[in-house]
Amino acid sequence: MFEMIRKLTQHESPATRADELFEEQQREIYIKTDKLFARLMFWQWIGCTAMAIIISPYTWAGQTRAIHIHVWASIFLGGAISLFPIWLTRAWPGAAITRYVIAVAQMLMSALLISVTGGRIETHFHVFGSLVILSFYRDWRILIPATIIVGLDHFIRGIYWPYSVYGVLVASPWRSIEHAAWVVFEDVFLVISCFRSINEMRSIANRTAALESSEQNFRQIFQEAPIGMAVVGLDEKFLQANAKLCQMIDYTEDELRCRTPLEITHADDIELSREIAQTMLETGIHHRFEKRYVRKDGEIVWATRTGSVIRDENGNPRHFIIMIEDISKRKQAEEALHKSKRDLEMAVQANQTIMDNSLDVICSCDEEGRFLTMNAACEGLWGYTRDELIGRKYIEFVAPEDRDQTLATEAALTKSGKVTDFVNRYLRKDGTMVDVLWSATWSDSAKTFFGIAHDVTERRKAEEAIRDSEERYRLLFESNPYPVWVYDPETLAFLAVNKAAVDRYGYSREEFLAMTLKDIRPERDIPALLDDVSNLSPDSESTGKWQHRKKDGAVIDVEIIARAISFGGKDARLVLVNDITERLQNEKDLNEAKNEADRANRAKSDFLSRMSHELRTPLNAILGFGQLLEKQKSSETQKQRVSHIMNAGRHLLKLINEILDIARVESGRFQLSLEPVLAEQAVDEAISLMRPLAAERKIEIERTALLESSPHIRADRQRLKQVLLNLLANAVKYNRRAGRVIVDLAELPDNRFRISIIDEGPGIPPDKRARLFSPFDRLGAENSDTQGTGLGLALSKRLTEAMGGSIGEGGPAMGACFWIEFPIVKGVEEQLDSTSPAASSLKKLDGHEKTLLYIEDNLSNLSLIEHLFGDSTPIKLISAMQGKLGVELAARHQPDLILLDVHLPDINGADVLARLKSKMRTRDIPVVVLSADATKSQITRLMSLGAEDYLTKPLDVDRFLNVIEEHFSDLSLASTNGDDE
Amino acid sequence: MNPKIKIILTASLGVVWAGAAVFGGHALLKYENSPGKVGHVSSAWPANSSIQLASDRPTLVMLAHPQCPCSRASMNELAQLMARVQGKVRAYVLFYTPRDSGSDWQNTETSRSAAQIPGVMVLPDIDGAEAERFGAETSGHTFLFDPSGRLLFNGGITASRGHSGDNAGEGSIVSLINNHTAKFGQTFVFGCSFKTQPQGDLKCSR
Repeated sequence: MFEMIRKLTQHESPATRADELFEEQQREIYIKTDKLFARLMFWQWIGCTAMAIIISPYTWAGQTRAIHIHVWASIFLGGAISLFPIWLTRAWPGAAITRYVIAVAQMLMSALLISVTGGRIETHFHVFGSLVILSFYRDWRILIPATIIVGLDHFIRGIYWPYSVYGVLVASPWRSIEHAAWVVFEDVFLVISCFRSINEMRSIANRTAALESSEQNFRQIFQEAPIGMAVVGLDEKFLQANAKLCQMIDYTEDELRCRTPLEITHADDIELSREIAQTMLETGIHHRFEKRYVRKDGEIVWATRTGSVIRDENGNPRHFIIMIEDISKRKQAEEALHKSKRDLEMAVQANQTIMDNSLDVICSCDEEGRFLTMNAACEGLWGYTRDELIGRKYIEFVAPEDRDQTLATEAALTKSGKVTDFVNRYLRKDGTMVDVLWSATWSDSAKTFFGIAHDVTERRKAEEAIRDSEERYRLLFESNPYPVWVYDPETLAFLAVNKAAVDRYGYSREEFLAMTLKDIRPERDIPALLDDVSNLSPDSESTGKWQHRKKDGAVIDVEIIARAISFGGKDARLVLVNDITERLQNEKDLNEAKNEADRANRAKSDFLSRMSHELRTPLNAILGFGQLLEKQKSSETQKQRVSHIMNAGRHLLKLINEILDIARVESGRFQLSLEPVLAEQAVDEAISLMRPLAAERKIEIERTALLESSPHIRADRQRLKQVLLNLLANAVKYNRRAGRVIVDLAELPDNRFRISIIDEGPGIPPDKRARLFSPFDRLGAENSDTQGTGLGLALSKRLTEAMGGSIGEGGPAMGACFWIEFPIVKGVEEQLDSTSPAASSLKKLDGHEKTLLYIEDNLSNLSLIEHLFGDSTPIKLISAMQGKLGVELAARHQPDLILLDVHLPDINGADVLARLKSKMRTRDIPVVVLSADATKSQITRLMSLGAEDYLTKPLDVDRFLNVIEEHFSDLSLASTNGDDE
Repeated sequence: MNPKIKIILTASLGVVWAGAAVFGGHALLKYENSPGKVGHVSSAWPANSSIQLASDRPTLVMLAHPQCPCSRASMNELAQLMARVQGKVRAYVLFYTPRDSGSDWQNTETSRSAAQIPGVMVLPDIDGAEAERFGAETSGHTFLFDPSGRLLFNGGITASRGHSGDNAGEGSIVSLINNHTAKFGQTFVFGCSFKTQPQGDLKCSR
């Protein structure tokens, strides 16, 4: 503090400051007096002019007058005398030249005034007055030029106009001395006054400088003090506050001046502060206490406050001085210390609790190994109480075979200071052995071992079990007949391989573990390998077919199964490899054989088609002419011969037709028109056709009773009848004479319908059943009189299966029992019933009639559509059963929508679609395809040709009606917009 | 303002100021100390004067222009003079009065102050006839005659134009009246002229 004071006082000397103050004061006086004279001279000028106008406005000569020269002199001479000094007071305020000029000008003004007023004695006082005012400058030197001017005036008058001054022709020296004496008399006193004033000013400057210096010193002490200091008035408001205090509580000095100390005191400390302040005021005793202040930002600051009362000379209190020292850090340290103590106590308590509640033994031993402290867990671990153990050596309880190692570890612990994971065995009180894991430290300063013992008996057992398990799994891994390995997904390095991999690939185990997957993969597979590795997530598998390269360079095809596992604690991949080289080769051979067979089959079908044509053409002639011969009158023998020719021809024709049918079915060119077919109706029709043949052999064809509900089955009506006729024909042909053929109809639980045809013939021998549906194989009947082609069952099987049904033989019958099954579907009426809401929705279309063209060769499909679009819907239906006709009708009628079947008798639906889209009149008409072909390629093909939609048969009527409604709604909307326009 | 220019301007204005002060002061001093004209002054009382010469004491006659501002000082000196001679002289102040002037012509401070001087008789001098007779052409011209009509003194009783204060004329008159002797028998007269002059050429000068 004193050092600081010394430094402050050395900053500037009071003498220098006094000079500064004196000069400042002087300059201030000069400037103020300059301003005073500026105003004075201006008003003097005005006044002089006014006096001239009042006293001597005119000069006369007889009756004539003119402006008196005094007036002109006042205005111009007076102005000239006054304005320059006035300008100087503005341009050079306080300058010496200004006041000297003012002094001269003031005296000149005096002379002018005296002239203007006619030398009145009163006007002479202006001179004296001017000198006095000039003395306001407190610069005696300016009296000199003023006095000189006065003297000059008299002197010049005395020289040039001597009689004018004194009234005598010769100037009397006494008069000049008298005049001068009065001026000098005044000057003397004015000079004395100036000196006195200057001395006083200097004295004041000195005192002020000293005061300033003192005040500066104390102010600096006050401001620079390392603790907060403040002056508080008796009204309890801050009068002054130093920077430290302001910084401490984050208020500026101005802000503090509006506040009292209590306003920035913590609420809990206000009462105490008030009491202490009152006591201090009453007793004058200094008080030092700790309190809290509240900073501007709300933070609390602890401080030590010391205050004292400053009293005046009468002992009355003037104000308080308070010193505030920030002890926040100390308080924080104290608080931290208290907290540390509390934490320590709590930690000790917690440690004690942990120790007391720990399942592990926490103990300490001296350097001889005697137990010093022990927690309660010892009883659980060793069976001994604390008291039984304290003081005894721990080695006594170690298993004898572990003592040597334990002692060695103890010796190492005293050197290293710390041992962890040391396991030895201890003998419990009950004689059993317990495995104990130790973590121990040695304190060289305390010469004490500190240890924590954990019972790891169970863990050791578990480890043993894990080792055993690992051994088993290792055995499984090694003995797996398939190559198995583990690799690192990051590096692709082999981590483990089994014997099968070594044997299969030819690399040794060491070679494998030095390789990566890339070494056994072709280069082209590496990107896919990396992709596969990265995409495999835990708990997932990936499979794939790859090629691997063996050590001898041979490439093998493998099928791998990979799975993400954890191997040695790291992410790894487990791979099982199956060599499929041979299998692939077999598959390849098989495919080639199949392709060859297909080619042969197709070649066969083509051959048959061509041959059929070649055969049918002459056969047509044979049968045709044979019919003509039949119609002619001929003899019995000729009739018999014609009959043989016709029979043979018909047989041959039937054979060719069946061969062709089989060939078409096998080649996939057989077109079926699947629709809901009333099963009973189809059966009855077939029975009706077969009755004449059956009657020839007196065979009765019976049908089981009508079902309560007559279901529909999905089938091609004609082909179904063909199959039924075939089976009925066999049942009749191979039946006993006058036997029965029973046709049984039954609904099966899985929504299928079975038609069984049972005869009373010899039946099918079990060893021949496998050949039943083989073409041309008549199971020995070719040696009998029963005629047949050997293709009926084969064709029936192919037709049935092509229609989605199944065919078989067998059942509880003494003869043969052939059956066919088909899925049950809804009939047209049923579909119509279920779609009545959909159908009714069509009636919501607006009143404009829509035209729908349906190109379809199947009558029942046409009938379905006709039922759908009944009279109540505003849809006019036009139908065409041929493709070309459909195109013509489309061009003529310009329908709003075209429904198109794909399988048409003349041209297929794709061609119809292409023609429609190529014609200008029809290309914008939307076309919806209805087809039984639901293959993706077919759908894609038709859509690419311009179809708006593709619906498959059997028709989903709801969807169909929705499609219709969409198209017609669009049209309705378009037409509405068109109407609006 | 540029300091250099400021200094130059200050110096220039100072020179102008000093020149104006000197020139103006000189002109003013010269004016104030330029006496007026004096006419033909007779050594004896004008016989055709309308005012009466005192037979038992000296007679003082001052001719003045009532409007002349410089003559105020003359009246002040006359008052002092009369105070010093205390009835030993008969004094007249004749104010130049044009025949066609109004009543306000003579109603000036000068004439009022003259009228207030004890022992002074104020009379109008119509068209300056008396001034002509006495030979006065400048306001403030003062004549002192003995009882026999002999001219003892003529001239002004102010030291300079419009200036009061000790002067040779007053001193001489007092001395003549009291002591019958005087150092100066004639002094300069400072005042306005009685002679009407053309416009533009007027001044209280000789």
